[in-house]
Amino acid sequence: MKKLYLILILSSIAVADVPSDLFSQANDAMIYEKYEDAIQVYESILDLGYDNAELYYNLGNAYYRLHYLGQSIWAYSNVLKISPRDQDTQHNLAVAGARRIDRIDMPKPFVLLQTYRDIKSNFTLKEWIMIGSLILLFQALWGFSLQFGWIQGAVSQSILTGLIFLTVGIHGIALDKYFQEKRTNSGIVIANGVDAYSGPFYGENTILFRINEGSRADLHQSQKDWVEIILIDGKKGWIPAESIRALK
Amino acid sequence: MRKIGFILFLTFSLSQTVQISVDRNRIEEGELIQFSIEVTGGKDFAKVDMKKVQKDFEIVSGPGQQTNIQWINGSMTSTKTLTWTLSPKRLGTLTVPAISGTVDGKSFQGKPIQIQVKKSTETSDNSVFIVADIDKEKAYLGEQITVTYKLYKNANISIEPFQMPEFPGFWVENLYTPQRVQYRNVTIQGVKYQVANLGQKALFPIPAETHVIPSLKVKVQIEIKRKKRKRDPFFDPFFESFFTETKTKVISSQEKKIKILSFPEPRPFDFSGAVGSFKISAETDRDSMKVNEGFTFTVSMKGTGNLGLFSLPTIKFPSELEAFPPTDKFEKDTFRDDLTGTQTWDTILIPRSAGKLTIPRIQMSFFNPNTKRWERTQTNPIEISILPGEQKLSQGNGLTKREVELIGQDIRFIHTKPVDFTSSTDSKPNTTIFIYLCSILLFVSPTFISKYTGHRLSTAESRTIRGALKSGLKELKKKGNDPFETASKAYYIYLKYKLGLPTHNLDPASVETHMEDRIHPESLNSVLTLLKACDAGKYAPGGLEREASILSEMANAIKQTDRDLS
Repeated sequence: MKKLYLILILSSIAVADVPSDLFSQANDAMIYEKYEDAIQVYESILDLGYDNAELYYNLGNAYYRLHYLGQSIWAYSNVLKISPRDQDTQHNLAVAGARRIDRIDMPKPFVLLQTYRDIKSNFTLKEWIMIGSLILLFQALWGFSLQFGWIQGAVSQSILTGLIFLTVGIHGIALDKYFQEKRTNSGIVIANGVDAYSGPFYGENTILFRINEGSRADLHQSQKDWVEIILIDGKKGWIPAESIRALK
Repeated sequence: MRKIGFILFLTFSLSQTVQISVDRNRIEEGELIQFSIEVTGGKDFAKVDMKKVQKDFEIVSGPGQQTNIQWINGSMTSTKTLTWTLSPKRLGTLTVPAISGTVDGKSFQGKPIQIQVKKSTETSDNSVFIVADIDKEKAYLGEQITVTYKLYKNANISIEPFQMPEFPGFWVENLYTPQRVQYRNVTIQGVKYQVANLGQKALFPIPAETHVIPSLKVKVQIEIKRKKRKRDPFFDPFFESFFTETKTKVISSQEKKIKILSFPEPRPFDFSGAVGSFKISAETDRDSMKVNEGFTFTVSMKGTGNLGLFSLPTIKFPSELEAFPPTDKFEKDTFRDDLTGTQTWDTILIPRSAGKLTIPRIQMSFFNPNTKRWERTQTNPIEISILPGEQKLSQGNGLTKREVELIGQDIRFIHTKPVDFTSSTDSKPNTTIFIYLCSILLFVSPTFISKYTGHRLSTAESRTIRGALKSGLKELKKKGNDPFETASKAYYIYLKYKLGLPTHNLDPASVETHMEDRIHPESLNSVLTLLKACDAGKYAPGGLEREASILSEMANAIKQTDRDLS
């Protein structure tokens, strides 16, 4: 079956709409519970340079069925980066997340900050910019109308002020989001029982902590086959590069 | 026998005198001198520094304090005396250096006192001596050396209480301390002696500069054998035993140096200082455990050697086990000359996840001084199986209630609707840019618009005037019910715009007054005639013949008026 798919991949490269064909093939494989084949095909679409929320979502499901918890969480996290309000993905990520071994206790942030983060993560950067532009357009129209006296009154004037604040605020969020995406380079641990060392080498007494698959970590720097990760609670350590997969 | 050898008086006030004295200044080796500082009339004892004295003399005991109060002829004299017992350190003429000190805050200065120490006249007094008996003179670091202090005597003596010396460079373990000195008989070179064990110690050399077994000093009272006197008629020999004379003497054992041997190289990597012969074993108190249930892991080391002087190699527990710091315990086997016993380390371990675990072997190297070889003892790895705890999920495993619910759920199915991958390079940026441009345009436009509208307002009149002809002619083209009314209305509208009149409800008379001075009288007349004709046509059935031409005539009239006015 694997070979068949490989042949299919090779033969279909010549066809115009390669990724879509591959995608439907992989979906067929999923329906027949040939998860390993499906993963191969989905990953090959990724290798071709295409990515898509649906693709990551289905890949995540395939990994989950084969109990690759870390890989499935990686895939779902990628979906949420593209479409953060996808209900199915949120559900699946929660189900997969509940099966993780590690639970890193996060310091509970200030309520307002938490709300802000939730709102911010609800839309992608592009969506934020889009919302910002629409609000700006509306504000421009409102101001225009006020100028020519089509609408009048103190209420309209204060609505305009409110709109200005809203525009500035949304663009601020968009800027924050932009810097956040640019600055942090996150990854999901995909192997179980990974020992984090104090340096990029295996040592007897240098194990700092142990991390299991599905945990999210920021990638700080890399050295040969090692990457330095920072956990959400601030712990730092070096783990082998193959045990973590960077998010898109 | 007792005589005052040297008396020094120091008078620094009428009432206070300080007297520094020794009881004799000619002694034999092994004899002691009494050194005293007597203050008469003072309130307190003298305060002195005896360090200088200790150069040539050893302070055997002291200072002893003594206060005498005398009443002589009704006046009181108090004498406060400090007394030391000194033992000379060598033969020859020794000097008790000048003593300086204070009494009641006032200082005094003594003079040096010379003391002659002669060799003992008694031919090598072997009646009492102490021997430090060691079992070896060369030892490895950590190897046990047993030292036994033995007192030999063949005279009647009494021993004063003594202290064991310090053993610098050794870790000391007490093996034997006599409750009461007990003698047994031995014969050395044909001489009968009684020997007593004064104490036995196990010494373990530790890294230090010198390793010397110090001498033990004991003060003894030796009964002096007297020559047989003539039989005294009054003093029966029976009584003599009550009146024996004694001599005080300090006897000491010789110091002994211990040579420290170095270990043969190479040292094993897991050598932590153990010297002797040991056997190590490990066990757990249970064979099967459950997650989060603690159990005890015991390592015990049995053997002979410097137990307690070295640490156990650190045990690398699997990371699934949470280990608490071990407690250690030492049980000594008594009735042995060599330090023998069992040391145990108990570690409490709590498994954090289920499965089969192996506690790795513990190994330790030690040096066996008997075989002069490195030896190694090790435990067997212990396999334990951890069963999952009963309430793994809800047992505070960090899971929230919602997460526990989620564990029971399955993921949702894949999305199978076809996806257009080519559109993934999405067009949203273009839309966004377009919206931004629109907004900017809207922001900028009011300035342009206001410019434009301002212009229009200023030119509105002329535009109206220019548009007047157009309006008039346009009015004519409207298909009205009545051509006459249409024609006249067209002219009035024309005039309204042309002259800027407020209304087009005009009549021929008002037209005349407006137009009198502006246009040619002929034109005005023709216009007026035409307008009147229109009025006539409106209200009377006559003039119907003009109905067809009236519109074109009016058009001409308007054009003519326009020409005249401009």
